[in-house]
Amino acid sequence: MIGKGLLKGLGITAKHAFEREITQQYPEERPFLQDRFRGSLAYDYPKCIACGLCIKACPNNVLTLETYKDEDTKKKKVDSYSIDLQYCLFCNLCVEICPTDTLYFTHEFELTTDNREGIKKIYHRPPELVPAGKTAAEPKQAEKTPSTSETGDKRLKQVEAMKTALLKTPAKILGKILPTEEDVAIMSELMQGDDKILAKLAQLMIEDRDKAARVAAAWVKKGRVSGPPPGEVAPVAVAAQGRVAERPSPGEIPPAAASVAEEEEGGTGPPAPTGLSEAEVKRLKQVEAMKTALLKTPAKILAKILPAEKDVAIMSELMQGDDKILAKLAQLMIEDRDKAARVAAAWVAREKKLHQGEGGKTP
Amino acid sequence: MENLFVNLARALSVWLQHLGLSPFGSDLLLLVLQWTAIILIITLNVLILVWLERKISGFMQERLGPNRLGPFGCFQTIADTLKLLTKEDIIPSQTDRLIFKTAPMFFIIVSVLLYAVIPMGRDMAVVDLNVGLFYFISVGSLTTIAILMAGWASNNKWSLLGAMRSVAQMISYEIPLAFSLLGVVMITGSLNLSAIVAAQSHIWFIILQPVAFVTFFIAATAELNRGPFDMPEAEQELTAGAFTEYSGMRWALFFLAEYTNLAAVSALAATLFFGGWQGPLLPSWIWIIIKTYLIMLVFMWLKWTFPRIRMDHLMSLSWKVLIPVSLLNILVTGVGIEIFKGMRW
Repeated sequence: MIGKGLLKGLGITAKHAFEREITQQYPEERPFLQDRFRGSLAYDYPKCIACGLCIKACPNNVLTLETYKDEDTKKKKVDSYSIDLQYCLFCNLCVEICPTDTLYFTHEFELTTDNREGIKKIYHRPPELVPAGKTAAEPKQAEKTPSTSETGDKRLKQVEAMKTALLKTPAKILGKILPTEEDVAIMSELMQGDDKILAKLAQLMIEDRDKAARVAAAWVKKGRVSGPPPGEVAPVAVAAQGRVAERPSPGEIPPAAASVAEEEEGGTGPPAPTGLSEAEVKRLKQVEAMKTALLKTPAKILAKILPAEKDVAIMSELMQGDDKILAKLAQLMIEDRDKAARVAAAWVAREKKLHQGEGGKTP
Repeated sequence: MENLFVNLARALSVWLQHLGLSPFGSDLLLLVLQWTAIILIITLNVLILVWLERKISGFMQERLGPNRLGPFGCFQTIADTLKLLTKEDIIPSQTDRLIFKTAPMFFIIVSVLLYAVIPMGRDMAVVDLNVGLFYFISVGSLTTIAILMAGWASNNKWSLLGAMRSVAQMISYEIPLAFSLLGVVMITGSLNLSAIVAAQSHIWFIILQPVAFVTFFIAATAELNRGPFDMPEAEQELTAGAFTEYSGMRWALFFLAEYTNLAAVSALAATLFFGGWQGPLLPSWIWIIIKTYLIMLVFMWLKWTFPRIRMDHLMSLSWKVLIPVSLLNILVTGVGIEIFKGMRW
């Protein structure tokens, strides 16, 4: 029949006229993005092991990595990582090759900026990982990449939340780690009197509950003997918490972190969002100071934790030979002197044994 | 409601005579009023039509069409018109200025003249001519001259090509257009459009003359320079054909005239084949509007469905298909009428 094709065409247009429009009114309606959508390339600082595979994989030299050597662990770590998105062709090679899933594509696709600098993403080492002496990353660049290390932040947040919880409902939480009610009472008193103890306990509760129980027990024992130690006064804690409360809550609290924190404190109180606490900074400084002191006057300090002079000598030699041991010891000295003593004794014992095995040869 | 406008005109005429005007003077004044009304309606109509066309083409292409200005974007055309009105009036230096300026005016005047004979409702033709249909076709073909004027005056190859195509197309399609209407005229025995409408009180001529309707519709699409027969404009080949050099309000006048023509031809189709203003319940002038708009929708539907026909195909379709078919239709109609008469007697 003549005109059959014409009628068919008319049918098609008529059908389409009543179908749903595929137009998307973009700024008002947001597009649906698949999981695999490749938006902006992002970087998760704490996961990065500075292996540099991504840089080798990149066909356009988009990525640059600057590393430093961690004094404590002797490992290569990331100082800064930059993604120059203007050259990125979103080929996925870097994401594919990354062994720790540090690099990933976000769903953010509005990447336009009005200058070339704006398109470059720079991730700096978070300030808490910068040694006390050095200044943190330049503030201008730090602004561009706020809160790069999520895991570090997470931990700190949890600890902070735990602190609040401990102050609010000490009995409930301490009951979990201390056997008797009397102990709980002593511990809570101790804790309220000394900010340092509170911080330490909170940290231990998050990190290692068994250890927390042990430490708490020790503290209680000590507290029974000598009464509450004349530690830091409460106003410091209050001030610290006030600062924490003032801080605008970061937009992206990882839900996992929040839930974990709540679990730990038994659902009491909201998780307190926070960055680096003052106690933490203080402690780092103390550790640094202790390190210097240990190197300067090893005998004096080591004598406090080691019984024999011979042991002190061995230990100081060890310490001077190995940076890692020095750092560890300094940290322990600040945090838990008893433990430091134990650890030092163990190190010395091992050293002695080694020397016996090798016929008294010194390394 | 039915005689709203007729009564209004009569009352006005009586009042004017009461004021001391001679019957001729009052008639003249009334005629001026009627033309003003027609021009207003046309302008408003074009505003709606442009919006409708953009909306419909959008829907057919699964787009939204204009939707920013007002509800469903219905004020978009008003904004466009304001923009066109405020644009600089550019006349290229090498043009024939007089013809260049008169062409759009001529075009719009011819288009408006078409409305003189169309019955817009019961007793609502401005001039109820005896040869209304003849008048419509002859005036309608004048638009070609306007396009030729524009193309020639522009002194531009595209414009001239577009104009020449337009002339060729118009001449070719004027013949089947007129021939296809002859069937209707033969049945009615009159060229008066009101009489043709009256003759359809029992049965619409689309049923009696389906072939005539199809040939008329195809020829009319070509006459209107609408897709798929929009060779004279053919944006992709000739930029804008005869209208290339026009801008601002002069160009808008061509645009206006084309849509005016579309409405006029649709109204004619409704009058000749779909019973004109006749219809149940609603007033006659609403019926003609409904029918005209439905036919215009079909014109738009065709335009946004079919691709443009090549020039030689266009000509061969007219001369080799439409003209023989319409001639045959006249023959069959004539024989049919004689048989019908013989059966009755």
